[in-house]
Amino acid sequence: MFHGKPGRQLVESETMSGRLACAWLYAAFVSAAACAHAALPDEHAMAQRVDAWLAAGWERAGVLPAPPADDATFLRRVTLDLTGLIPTAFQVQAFLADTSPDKRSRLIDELLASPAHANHLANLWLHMLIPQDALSQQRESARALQAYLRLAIADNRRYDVLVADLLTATGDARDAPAVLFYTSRDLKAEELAAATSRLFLGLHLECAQCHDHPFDRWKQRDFWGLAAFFARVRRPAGPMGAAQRLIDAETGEVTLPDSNQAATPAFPGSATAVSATDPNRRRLLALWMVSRDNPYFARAAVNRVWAQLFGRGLVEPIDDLAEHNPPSHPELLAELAAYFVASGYDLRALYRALANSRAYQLSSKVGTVHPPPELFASMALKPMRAEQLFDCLVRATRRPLAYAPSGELPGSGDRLRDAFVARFQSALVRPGEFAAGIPQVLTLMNGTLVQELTSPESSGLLQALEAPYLDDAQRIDLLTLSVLSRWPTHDERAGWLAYLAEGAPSDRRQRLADILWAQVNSVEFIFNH
Amino acid sequence: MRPTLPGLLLACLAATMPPGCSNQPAQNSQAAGGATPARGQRAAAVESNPSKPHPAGPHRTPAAAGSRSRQLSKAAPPKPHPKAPAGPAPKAERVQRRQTAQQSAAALRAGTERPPGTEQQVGREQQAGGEQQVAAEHERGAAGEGEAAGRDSNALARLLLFTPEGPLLVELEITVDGRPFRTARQELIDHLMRAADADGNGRVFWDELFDNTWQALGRAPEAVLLGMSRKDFLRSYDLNQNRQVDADEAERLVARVDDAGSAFSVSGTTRFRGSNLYQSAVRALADANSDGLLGATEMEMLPARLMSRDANDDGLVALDELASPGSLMAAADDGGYPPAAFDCTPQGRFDSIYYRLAEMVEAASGLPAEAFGSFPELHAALDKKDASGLVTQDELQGLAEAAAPLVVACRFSEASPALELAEATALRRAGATIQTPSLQVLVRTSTWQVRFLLDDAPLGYDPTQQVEGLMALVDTDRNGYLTAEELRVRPGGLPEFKVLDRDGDERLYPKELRAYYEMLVAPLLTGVHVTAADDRDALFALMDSNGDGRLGAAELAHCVSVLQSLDQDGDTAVDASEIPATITATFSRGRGTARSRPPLAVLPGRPPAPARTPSWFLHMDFNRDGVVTPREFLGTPEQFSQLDVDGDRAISASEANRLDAGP
Repeated sequence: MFHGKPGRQLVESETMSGRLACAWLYAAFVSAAACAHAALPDEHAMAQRVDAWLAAGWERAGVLPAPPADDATFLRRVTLDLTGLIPTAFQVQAFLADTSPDKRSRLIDELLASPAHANHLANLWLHMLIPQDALSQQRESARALQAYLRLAIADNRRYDVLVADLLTATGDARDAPAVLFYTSRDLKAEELAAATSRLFLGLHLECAQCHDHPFDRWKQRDFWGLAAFFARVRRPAGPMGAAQRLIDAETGEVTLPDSNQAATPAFPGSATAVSATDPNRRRLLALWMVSRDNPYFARAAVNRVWAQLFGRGLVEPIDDLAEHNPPSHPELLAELAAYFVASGYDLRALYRALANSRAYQLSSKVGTVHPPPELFASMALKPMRAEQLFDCLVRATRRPLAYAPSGELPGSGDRLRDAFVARFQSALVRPGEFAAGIPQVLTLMNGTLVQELTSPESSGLLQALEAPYLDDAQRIDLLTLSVLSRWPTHDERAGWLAYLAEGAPSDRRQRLADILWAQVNSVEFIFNH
Repeated sequence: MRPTLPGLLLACLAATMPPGCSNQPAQNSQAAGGATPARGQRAAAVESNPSKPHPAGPHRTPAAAGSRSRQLSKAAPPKPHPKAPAGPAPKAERVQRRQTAQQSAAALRAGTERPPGTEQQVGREQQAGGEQQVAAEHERGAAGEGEAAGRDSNALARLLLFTPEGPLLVELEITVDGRPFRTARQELIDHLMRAADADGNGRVFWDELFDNTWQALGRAPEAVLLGMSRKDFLRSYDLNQNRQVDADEAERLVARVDDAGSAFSVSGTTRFRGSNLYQSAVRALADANSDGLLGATEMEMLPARLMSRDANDDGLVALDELASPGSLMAAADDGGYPPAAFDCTPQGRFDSIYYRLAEMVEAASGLPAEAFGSFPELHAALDKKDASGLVTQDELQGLAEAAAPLVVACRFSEASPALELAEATALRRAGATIQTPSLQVLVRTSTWQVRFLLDDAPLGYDPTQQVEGLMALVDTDRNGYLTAEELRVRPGGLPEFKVLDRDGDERLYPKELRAYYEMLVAPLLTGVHVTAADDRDALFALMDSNGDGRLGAAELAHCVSVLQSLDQDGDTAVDASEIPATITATFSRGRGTARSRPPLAVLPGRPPAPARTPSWFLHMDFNRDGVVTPREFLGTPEQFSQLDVDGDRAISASEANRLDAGP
């Protein structure tokens, strides 16, 4: 396996990634020779470039950016974006008390190196790669794939190697969990082509499945040319009980609809000829996909990461990088893509560059005039995904983690979690989107989970706050730190203390619970601001 | 009539009956076999001993019990407990005992015998006075001897544990809340029979039971029928098809309820034998340069590498956070591996044990000494009758009585559970080391380690909390009791008001509700289960010193020295062959393995928090590792330091207690 350590191993390697690495080395040598004068920017320099391009856009539009976000807001935002969890009260206090000037950049580094980051990205990718119904029906395989992705991201495996390995996954699910990408789509070539083009190229080629694309350049043969690469994927039935292995067969074609003509494999939008003699079509596709010949791959990846951090992509929708849908900042996208490639498809470097930019650290507060969102003049409000909301709820209110020797991971199955998530999803909502209708609001306000988390008898946080060494003012502070990840303002503290004091002493615990309930149901909690 | 031997003995023993027995209820109709009056007497004795807490709650009617006797068909002569030493009993009695032992062994295999524990209890009651038949008499003798030897045979069980080097015979002394575990289960069965015998005629028909399932088992008839139709159910459960509930049938029923299991059962698999060394995820993680050896530097780096896998950010490292993706999938598949341990009580399946041992050495006509690996004395003990060098299937039955090199005492109790070593001289002589951290017994040789672990969290909920929740929900006028009107809604599948209201005063107090819940969980709480299986990852098991399946800060700090101690050949590096194979035998109640635990339940290997541990501490300990770390703490750093008296950067339960007990 290629772990970013070029060397002897590569030349001798028989694996896909080994060959890829050879290809990369060759390409790198060639392009390095060509661009020897251009220095590789480091992450902070790249961050400044991002700011420069965005500032140019603000100036052109005559828009003032929002002020910088304060430390508490930044901490919550970056922890949510990079690890999927809110910071604990302890972490908030420690960060806010830290006076060193580079604490934000050090925080970004720590979060990127933490195992929670790998877990969060693995969950995001899992939901991106596998359709929702396959995730719920094939839990074991999904868990294995999540573990595979988690380990790969923790190792900071190159993005191009990761995608190439995914596309050429062979064998049974135990050895290569990534075959779930194929088995969840029943090995159907047209579905695989549609998913591959959307996820890794940012192209909606499936619109050209039945006819030439209405307004884009894609023809029907482009779609089926891509589908032809998946024509030979098979899962032959073996002896009873043996795990089914995914293999590449020797023969097999897809035909264009309503015709008997076999589609010849062709890289979309590229004139590069496909070798007719190489039997392993998937490998050919993977090689082309990650090569510099392919202008879409890096741009699609950068756009996705940008969308994850900024709430919308430089191209929106993020999987439609078509000519009729230009990016809001074309030069910025091109520069970021080049940076990503030059860094060796290093995801951490990309996250670091974007998170360290001033634009990422802007406040989300806008005045009466809202600048257009594509200017990125303020941070967008990002709704939390349903699973994320559940995980943050239980973390904030200290619902005791289910004891399981196998260690329940955020993202793994849990009936209460599934029920909660199911309420927030509907067929109309894209996976990962936040549905905010009446059922969802009622779930949050009155649902069983929230009741359990916020009632004095069963809430872990409220029980912990009964510690005798705490006074009411401290209780208010710690409550707010745990839930909203900030200190209460002066007025808030005074108001809540007054609320606590005005009831009977026996009512105090219930009143504290009321404050907790109110905070949990606030927009400030539910959104990633 | 020619005096028979039993009759003679009867006469002898009648003359020697201790005084004060005459007030025992008369023994009415003797059915075939001596157990019938015994059972009635036992019931009477139980009834007349008010200090013994009854699992079913305060609803017995003492008057009726004594006059009933239970007719039990197929009550073959009971078998004395195998461990009762041949003490001061008269020789004739010993002869008789041996004969009846052989008969009842046959009866046991036919599956119609009651377990020995019941007979022993009978014997004890009869000591308080009662009449006797031969069968009952030698039980009394045996029981008396058992007690004289200091161990109640109702508390004994044994299992045969297959270590990589041979079968280890382990004897167990098990009590539940201070009482022998078989006693507790037997009382439940007695209660079931009494409650189901609605017409009080001493016979319980299956139809009577179905009409009274709420009183007998606290469940609806559908729950008792386990989803079957009555006809199918009776086909499976009325073994002798006599439409009556016999003792063994009642036992089987109770064992099936809620998957409680019989009074003693053993399970577990050898699935990971061998692979837990070579495919250990911890070893793979530690072996940074993949050369198969764990060197000194790699060992030093291991704690940090382990922590870097804490994916759910709870401060603990669990095996699934370390496991490779493939093994995560494989872990789900559990079939087809031979068990790691077998039940060796007289109810055990000795034929399975025989086949298991035989296939290991491909024996044809008997087991040679090599089948027993490094436990040749067990082979000798089994073979001593004919010393033929081969142990036959019949001789293997001797496992039920042979001396065990290891005796472990297991005490289930809500307040003070314990797992202790009772006896291990032979093992120590053979070079094993024994350690006894809290709630564990660790037996270690150079090539294997067995961890006996107490994991007692049989319920998915806390009955007291359940009652409080119910009262809060239903007692709308808050007067501390429920009326029939308030309970009209019957949440949570509760039975009807009149079933719950045992004393018939039209008021349901919390204690009556609690009695109901206790009856509901009584089957679970009286079914002792031992799961003996190879650990999934041997290195992980060695480092997990408290056996809770997670590596905490203390265990991580200690793991380097654990690794260093494994080096046997002095080359300061550890390879796979130097890692001992590890097996864990967990004692629990109820067979449900995937039972969810209430949030603050006792975790395996950790004693329950001291009784007065404040609730705020338990809830602040977010990851339930027993201490509150700065990460989990709510308060200022100064407050933390004040609480952390010993300065180890962790607040323990006792330090929290000190605060509450303070000025």
